[in-house]
Amino acid sequence: MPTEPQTSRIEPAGFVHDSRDKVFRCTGDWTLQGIGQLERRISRSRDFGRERILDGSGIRRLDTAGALLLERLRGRIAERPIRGLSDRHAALLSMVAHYRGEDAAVFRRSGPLTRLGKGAIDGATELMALFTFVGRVAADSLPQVLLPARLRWKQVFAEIEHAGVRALPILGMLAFLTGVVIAYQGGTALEQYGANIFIVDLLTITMLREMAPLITAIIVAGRTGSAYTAQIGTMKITQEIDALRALGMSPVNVLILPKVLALLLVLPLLTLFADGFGMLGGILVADIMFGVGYQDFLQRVPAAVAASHFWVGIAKGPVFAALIVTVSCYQGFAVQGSTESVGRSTTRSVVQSIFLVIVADAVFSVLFNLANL
Amino acid sequence: MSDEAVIRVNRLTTRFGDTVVHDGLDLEVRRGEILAIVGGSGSGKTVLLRHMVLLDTPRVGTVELFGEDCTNLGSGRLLVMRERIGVMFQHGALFTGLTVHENVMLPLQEHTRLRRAMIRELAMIRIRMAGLPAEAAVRYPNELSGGMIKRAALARALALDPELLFLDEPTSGLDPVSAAAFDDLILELKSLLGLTVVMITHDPDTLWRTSDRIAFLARKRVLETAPVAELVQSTQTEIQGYFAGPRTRDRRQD
Repeated sequence: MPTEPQTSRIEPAGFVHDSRDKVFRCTGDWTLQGIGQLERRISRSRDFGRERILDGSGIRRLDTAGALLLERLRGRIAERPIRGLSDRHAALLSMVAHYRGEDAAVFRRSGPLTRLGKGAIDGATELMALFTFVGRVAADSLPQVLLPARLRWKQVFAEIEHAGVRALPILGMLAFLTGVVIAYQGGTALEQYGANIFIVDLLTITMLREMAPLITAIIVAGRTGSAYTAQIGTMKITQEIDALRALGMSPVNVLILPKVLALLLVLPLLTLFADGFGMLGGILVADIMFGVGYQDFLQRVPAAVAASHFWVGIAKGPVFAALIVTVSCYQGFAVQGSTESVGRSTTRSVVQSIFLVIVADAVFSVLFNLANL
Repeated sequence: MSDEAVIRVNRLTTRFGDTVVHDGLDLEVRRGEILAIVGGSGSGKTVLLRHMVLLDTPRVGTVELFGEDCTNLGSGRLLVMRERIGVMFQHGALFTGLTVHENVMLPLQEHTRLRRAMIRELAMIRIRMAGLPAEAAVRYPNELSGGMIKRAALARALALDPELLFLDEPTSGLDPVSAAAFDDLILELKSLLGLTVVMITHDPDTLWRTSDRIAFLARKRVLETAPVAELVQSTQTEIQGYFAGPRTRDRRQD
C-alpha cells in the first residue's frame, strides 16, 4: 500500500493560480490540520472564475476533510475532474464525493407555532403523568400496606437511617443557628420596650410552628429527595427498573414504598429534633444577651404558648414528606435515556419539592387560621 | 503494509493491588495493518488498549506511538497525539445528551478552526461513511439500535481523520449480518484512508476476515503475534486451546 510522507511538520494547504493557462495548482497538506486557513480563504472569496482546471499533483497529503474541501473548490470553479491526482487520492476523493448528500431536510426545525403547541401538549402530558404516577403508586401500595408482614422492613429501616439518622448533625446545627438568629433579632426589638420576657412567646411560636418544619422539609428535599431522583433515574437508564419488572418485582414495592414509609415516619421526628435544637439556641441567646434565665424561660413556655402550636408543626411533617417523596420519585421515573436527563430531573425534583413545601405551608397557615388553631 | 512500527509497547508491567495483569509485555503494531488482540477473559486486553490510547500511563515500561515515547508527554504533545488516534469504545460511549451528528461534530469543533458549515458536512460524511442513514444523524443515542450505536461510535472515532484506529469489540452484540457488514466497512475504510487498526475481538469471523496479524495474550504477556493461519498451527497450549474450541476452529475449510 502506498504510504504518505511521515514528517509530523504540517505544510499548510494552498493553491497557485496560473492565469495564463487557467490552472489552479494545489499544494501542501490537504488534511484536517493543514486546511484551516485555506478553508477560510475559499469560503470568503467571491469568485475564482469558472471553467478552470484543478491540478492535484502537488498535493502532499490528503484526508477526508481535505478531500471535501477539494470537492467544494471543484464545485465552484471547475467542471472537469481534478487532474494529476495519485490513485489513492483519487479514490479518497471519489469516496467523499460519494458520501456527500443533501442534508438540509434532515435538520429542518419546526416553526414557533409548532413548538408552542408541542410545549403545551408536553406540559399537559406531564401533569397527567404525575397524576397517573400518584394513582398507580397508591393502587400498588395499598395491598402491601394492608399486609404489613409482607413489607420490606429491612429497606424501610435502611431508608430511615439514610434520610433520618444521617441528617441529624446538619439539621441540628441549622436549627440551632436559626433559633439563635430569631432570638437575637426579636430580642433586640423587644428590649426597647422592656418586654424581654416575650422573647419566649416569639421564639416558641416561630420555631415550633413554622421554622422547624420548614427547615427540616427543605433539608430533606435537598438531601434525600435529590438522592431518590438520582438513584431511580440512574436505575432507569441502566435498565435496572426493567430488570426488576422482568423478575416479577414491582418497582413501586421495592423502590417507592419503603421510601414513602420511611419519610412519613422520619420527617415528624426530624421536626421534633429541630424543635429541640432551635429552642436550645434561642434559650442560650435569651439567657446570655437578654437576661431571661432558662428557668424563667421554660416555666413560661407552657403558660404562654398553646400546645397546638407544637402539634401543628409536627402535623405538617407527614404532608411535607408526602410531597417530597412523590415529586422526587416521579422525577426519577421521568428520566429518559441520557445522563443529562438525570441531572435535569434531579434539579427539577429539588426545586419543585421546595416550591410545593412552601406553598403547602402557606395553605396550612390559612387553614389553621380558619380553624382557630 | 510496511515494517515500520506505529505502536511499540516495551516491557509493560501493570498491576492492580496484588494482581499482576501484564508482566514485561512487548507488542509491535506495523503501519497499515489490522492487528487483532485476543485472549481469554481477564487476560488484560482492555487494560493494554487503555495504555495504547493513552488513557492509562504505564508505571513500568513504555508505550511509543509514531516513534515517540508517550509515557511522559506534556499536555500539548498529548493533545497532538490524541488527534491522531481514534477510539471506538465497546459500548459506544456516545454522549447521551447529544445527537449522533453533534457527537461527531464535537471533536471537530473542539480541535479545528473550520467553519460550521464545513464541520456539519464533514460530520455528515463520516456518518454516511460509517453506514448510517442520514436520518439517524438527528437522533439521540437512546433512540438507536445496538448496531447503529456501534456505527455512530465509529463515525465519531473517525471524526478527526485519525491515522490509528482502536476498536474495542467492534462486532460484539451485533447480529451476524450486521457484524459481517461491519467487518467489510473496517476493511474498506482501512484501504481508503490508509488506517492502522488495532482491535480487541472475540468474533472468530472478524479474526479470519479482517485481521492481518493476531497478538495472543496469555501468561501476562503477548504469547505470539502472527497471521491467524499461522497462529492456528502454534504449538503453545493456550493458543491451541483457544483455536480448538468449536467456535474458533479454522474457518478456511468452511
